[in-house]
Amino acid sequence: MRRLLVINAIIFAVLASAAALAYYGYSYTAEASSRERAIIQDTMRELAEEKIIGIETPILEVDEKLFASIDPDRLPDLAALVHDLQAPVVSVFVLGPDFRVLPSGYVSDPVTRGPAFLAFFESEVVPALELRMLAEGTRAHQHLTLDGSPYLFAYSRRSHNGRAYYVVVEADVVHLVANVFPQFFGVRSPRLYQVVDESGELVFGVPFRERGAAVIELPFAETLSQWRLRVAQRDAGTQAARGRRTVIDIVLIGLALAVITSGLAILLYAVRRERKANALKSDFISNVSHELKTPLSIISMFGEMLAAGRVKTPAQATEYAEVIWRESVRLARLIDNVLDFAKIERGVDIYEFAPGDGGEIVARAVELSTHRLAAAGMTCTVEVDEDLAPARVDNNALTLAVLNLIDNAIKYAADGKRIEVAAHGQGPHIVITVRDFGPGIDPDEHERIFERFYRARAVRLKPIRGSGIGLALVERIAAAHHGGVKVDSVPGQGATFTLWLPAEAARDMTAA
Amino acid sequence: MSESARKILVIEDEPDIVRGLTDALGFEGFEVQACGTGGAGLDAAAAWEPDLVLLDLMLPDDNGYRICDALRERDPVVPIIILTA
Repeated sequence: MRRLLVINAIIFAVLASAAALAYYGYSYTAEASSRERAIIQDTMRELAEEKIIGIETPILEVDEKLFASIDPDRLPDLAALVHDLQAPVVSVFVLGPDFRVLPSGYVSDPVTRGPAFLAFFESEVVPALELRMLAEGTRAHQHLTLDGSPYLFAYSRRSHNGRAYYVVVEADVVHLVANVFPQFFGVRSPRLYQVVDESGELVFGVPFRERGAAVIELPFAETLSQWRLRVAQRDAGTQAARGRRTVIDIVLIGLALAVITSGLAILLYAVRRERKANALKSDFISNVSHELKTPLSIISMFGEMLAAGRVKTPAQATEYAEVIWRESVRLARLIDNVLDFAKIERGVDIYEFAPGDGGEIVARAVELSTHRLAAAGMTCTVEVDEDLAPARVDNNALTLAVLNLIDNAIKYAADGKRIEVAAHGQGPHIVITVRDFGPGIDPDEHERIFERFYRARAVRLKPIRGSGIGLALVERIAAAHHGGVKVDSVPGQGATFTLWLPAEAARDMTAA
Repeated sequence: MSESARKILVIEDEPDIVRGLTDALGFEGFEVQACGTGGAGLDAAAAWEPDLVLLDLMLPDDNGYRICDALRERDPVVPIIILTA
């Protein structure tokens, strides 16, 4: 009882620690991968912010320089000024307080803009810039898409001698995309960066090839306000592999848990089986010792009486001698059973096969049982096919098997008064049957009675000596002959034990 | 009281042992009665009032120890010898 408690406690402890291990393993794996993901995202965000600042700062610096150096009184010098600054701008406008471009207040790249752009600027761009909302000395950026083309304007409201004027600078977006972006984002790994416009179209970079990669998207804060910078994870491949590893980790943890649980189940099963086997073994030992001691005490009792001359008549002495003889035969058979069984259990090959006659074996077994049959008040009929085929048998072993079946019938079915023993040919088999008319055997025990040490419930309650190995031995002997044994019984109507083995001709055929 | 008057009750189910005990004790001049079951043994003990009981432990209808208790309850002084294997 206490041992059972300890075993249960250990099982519980093992299961609990396995569960704890699985939980820690899982949560560690999950936490590690989510932390890693967070770190990667943070790094990418910082990188994106850095790049945006890096791109915007030079643009803003150029704008400021232009805003500061333009003098509305010296507009004819504007072209020289812009040229000297070597600023990446396509056009510069200086407007009066009426939002019209001042005379000589327009300088532009002659190839891409030219004089025609001035009219476009005044009619389309100026209304969009909302210059009147600007406070003096401040600047603003406007990123416009007009007729499908992107324009980036920086503008500032300033005053000179009490008069307000406006400077509008158009940054060179083409230069930005063609020269500045590659320089910043590195041509060697273009797939890591993308710049997309307001409609999601790629302005710079190529489509990200790797699926499932984490992407961070940040808008350009001040200048290219409608464009966004996308940063893709550089090692998306290894990241995906790491994700797979997380899945593998979890599967492995589950597998380990399953192995521990099933190992425990197998262990429990083995322990239970072992305990059951031990109980059967100790039953066997007490059965066998009782089986051994009873004939011994009978022999010694009658032997002592004979030796002491405590017999009244010579007939009585003969009777005592017969009892001694009978009991010693019984004892010898029991010892044979136990020793043969032990040998078979140890895997020793005890059989010596030779061609034999099933009918002879049956007849001999019945003859050896004559005395016991008479003592039990039973009769036995024998029926053997005249043309019974020979078989390869171990004479002694097979005789012992039939003897055990007859013994059982005498021991447990004496009430039936009658035993029928027969040997028939049946197809390729020789079939030996021992039929009794005793109490029969419960159907649920038909298989178990052939287990070693098992004794049927009904006979355990009776004062009938038995070791629980007789039928197990019969089964092993039958199996050694490439045959088998079974029982058919209806409780109350007796039992028929059937032992079959292949006839020699059939065996040769199967062997060939 | 002469020895021949002494009565021994044997409660034992194995016929050969009953036979041997009956013959051996009878040879010594005791009067022997044998019963194959504990129930019959108790009845015989009540009716026959033996001077000694030989009792087997493995009986078909009951455990020998319980038969022993039942015998003692009826008669606290009769000697009982238990036969073990």
